[in-house]
Amino acid sequence: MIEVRGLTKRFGRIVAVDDLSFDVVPGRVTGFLGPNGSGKSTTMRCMLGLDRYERGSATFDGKQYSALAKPLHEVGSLLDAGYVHPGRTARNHLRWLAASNGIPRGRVEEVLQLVGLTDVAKRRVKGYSLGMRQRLGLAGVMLGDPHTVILDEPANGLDPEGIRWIRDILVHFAQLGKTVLVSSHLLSEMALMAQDLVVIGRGRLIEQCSVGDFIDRHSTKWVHVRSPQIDQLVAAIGSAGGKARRLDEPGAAANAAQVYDMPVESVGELAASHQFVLHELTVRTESLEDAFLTATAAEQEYRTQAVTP
Amino acid sequence: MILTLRSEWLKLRTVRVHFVLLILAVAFPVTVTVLVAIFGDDAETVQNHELAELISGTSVISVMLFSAVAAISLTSEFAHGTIRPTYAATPNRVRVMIAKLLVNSVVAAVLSLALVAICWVAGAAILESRDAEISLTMEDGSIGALGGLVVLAVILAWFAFGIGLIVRNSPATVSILLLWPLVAEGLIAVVFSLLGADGLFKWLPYQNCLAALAANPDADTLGRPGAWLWFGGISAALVVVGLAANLKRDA
Repeated sequence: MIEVRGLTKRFGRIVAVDDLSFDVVPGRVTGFLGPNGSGKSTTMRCMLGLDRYERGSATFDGKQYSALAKPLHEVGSLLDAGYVHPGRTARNHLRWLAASNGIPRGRVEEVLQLVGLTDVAKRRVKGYSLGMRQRLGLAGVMLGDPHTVILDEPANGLDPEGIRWIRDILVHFAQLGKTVLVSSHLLSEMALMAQDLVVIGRGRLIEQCSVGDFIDRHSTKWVHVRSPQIDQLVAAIGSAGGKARRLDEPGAAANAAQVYDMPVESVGELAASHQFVLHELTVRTESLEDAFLTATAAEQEYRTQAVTP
Repeated sequence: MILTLRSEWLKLRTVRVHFVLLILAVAFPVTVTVLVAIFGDDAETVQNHELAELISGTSVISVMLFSAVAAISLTSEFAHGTIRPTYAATPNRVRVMIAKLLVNSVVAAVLSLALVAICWVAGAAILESRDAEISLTMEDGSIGALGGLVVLAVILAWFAFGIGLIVRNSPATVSILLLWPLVAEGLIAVVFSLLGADGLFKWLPYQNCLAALAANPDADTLGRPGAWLWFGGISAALVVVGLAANLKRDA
């Protein structure tokens, strides 16, 4: 279990991480989300003792990272796939890592096999694509078979097969009871693999909860309905106290409407009572991405202008 | 500590540029010594201390290259970001840096010793075939001159490592390594001279160590042990300052 308490880190006068506290529990994948510049990477570096922080603590099963004698056996981390010497081969990169924690050389071959780099292990890393470097970084994470895994944007540069592989492996880690903290900008991926979320903005905690609760709290739900008598149905919903809007923008489904403030059951019963034919009746929810943008709207460090066609 | 030493040794020997620099460093004085021994005039009159001074003089470039490797092996960790996985694997930063320093010191000592031995054996064999009488003795200062090179190699490795720890940048560190002996100490000497303080020359650490490479160092220098202690002390102080700074800084 990871426990972060009151973590505060400054860069000069800028407070990068501000009294941040959260927990990451074993057996679940916890997504670490925040806009660019919100302090996710800095927090991870502080947790691992790489950046010095002013206040607070970060512990792994009750121990500070610096107190771990052979950390690779307990915490596997990948902060940036670029942290490799370009003139060294993948095998040698893993060998020095393994040697530092007394991990046998045979394990290096095992993890190379696991990440699919055995055939190119003799090549120097400068010839590697970003995706191959990510795989090498993940091999380093797995070297000591740690019970805690911390990954910063592990899917960066990976092809769709690689992204699915990352997702599967992190879910597998969680199923094995490991503690998994992963940051990613691919929110659709996060929605598929994470059970819990830690969302931060400007270095402060915005929310820690399950993915479902987060979406429920920060997104809009509506009933999507399609019917050949859509105009009559929209009118009936209005009369019954609901809010309905016929979709007529380009690309929208034909004879469709969005219904707010009325449960899906009531919409169905209303249609039945008027003997309207229904072609579709579904509850729709905004995505994790929409919920994330809503939750962090006030905490965006860098804002873009809307693009108009 | 053994695990960290093993890891740092692996790091040093698995980067090709380190090998290239070290091979160049060893090859240069061997080539010069062999060529001088083969083509030098009046070979039969060459004495032990002259061969020793030829070897130690031409090998100064080599020990500077050894020190450059020591510096680059450290600063490249910061340049490529590998210092972060290094500290993630071994959170005790002092242990990491001491291991790195020990590995580089041993490499510098062993290679400079091997370099001196190869040059001496090759030079002596060629000169003896040209009727010179060469033997390694303590009396004429030959062993002192050759041994001084090995000591200088270790001291320079510490000097480079200390600067590297403070600067954490490869080009800047190597520039300082080259500019200090070639420019900085020369300018300081000029200032001393203008001030009429010629007696302060002996406190220029690098020049003093170079003077200690002579078979019989001048009387107005600190002498061999004094030069080593002075430059060694300065280098050790740089390492201590660098270690302290690295404990406080972000990786």
